[in-house]
Amino acid sequence: MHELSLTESLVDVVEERLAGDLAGRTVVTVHLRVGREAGVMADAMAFCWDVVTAATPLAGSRLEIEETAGDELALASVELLKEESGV
Amino acid sequence: MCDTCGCGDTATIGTLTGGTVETVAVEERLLAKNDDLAAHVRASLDERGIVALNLMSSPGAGKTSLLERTIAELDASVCVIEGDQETSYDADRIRAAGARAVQVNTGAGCHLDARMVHDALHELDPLPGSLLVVENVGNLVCPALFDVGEHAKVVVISVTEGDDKPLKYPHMFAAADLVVVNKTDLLPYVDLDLDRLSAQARAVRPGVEVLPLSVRTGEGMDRWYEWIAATGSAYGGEVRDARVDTVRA
Repeated sequence: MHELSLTESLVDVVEERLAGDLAGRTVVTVHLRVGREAGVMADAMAFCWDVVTAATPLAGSRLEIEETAGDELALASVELLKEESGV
Repeated sequence: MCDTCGCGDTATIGTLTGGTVETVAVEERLLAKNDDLAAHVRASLDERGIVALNLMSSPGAGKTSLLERTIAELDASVCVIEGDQETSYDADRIRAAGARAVQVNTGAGCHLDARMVHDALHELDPLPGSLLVVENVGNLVCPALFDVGEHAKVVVISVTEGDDKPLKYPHMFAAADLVVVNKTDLLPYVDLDLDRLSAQARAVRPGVEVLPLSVRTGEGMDRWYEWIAATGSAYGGEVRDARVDTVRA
């Protein structure tokens, strides 16, 4: 199941790219694009999301997957929630 | 809660009230890190004139046997990175055949990635000009997706597996630079249609060479060594098949 290691890579990429933005914020949704020719089962990535994100800053977030043509496998964007009480 | 089975899939995020949601565009390929490391591996091999093959198949197709015979017959230095979930059986066999080998155990993992190969190379330290073979975890699915820094991907299928596998596992065969059909000595006993297998392989990878051979009897092995020598030259490697040179001279 390479989807498990790809999901772990996805969490790593989010943590690295948003390292400076995560403080005081909650990751709500992670948007991923998966091509139909990518050789990846989107459902399997969604299935293991909760387990892979547990004990990371992404715990409790949702994984939204957009199916696309071609063979891409890319992190598109991340939605972050900023608590107003924390302002 | 989801109305169908109560799994919670459609649960709304209650914490959204009282905060502002910001969308941060990231746009990064998930395999970027793996592919960058694979490119680094390939560049470091190129510097030393080492040509690397990524050998993939289902379990039992004969990858290790092919390497044992190759090590015995090819007049070149061969080094092997062995990938299996558990045991060092294959690395032991390669060492017994006379080549250097490092075993990578992936545990639950179903494939080798560039990080594993990179780390194994530090331990293996292949000689300049040698042939490096990465024997991937036996699996016709996942290894196709991961560049490990090889110059060419070789898919091995044995005649007992059936001639319909290229279309059943298209990602693997679409990635193949060479399809080796092993155990041709068993052809009289099975229903495999070599033409159908070749046609299916070329349907997903146009023009790919399909090379029937028998590791057991040696039939077809000459073409395998020619292919290795040609691939070595194509990628600037120094791997030579001395027997081919002798024939030409």
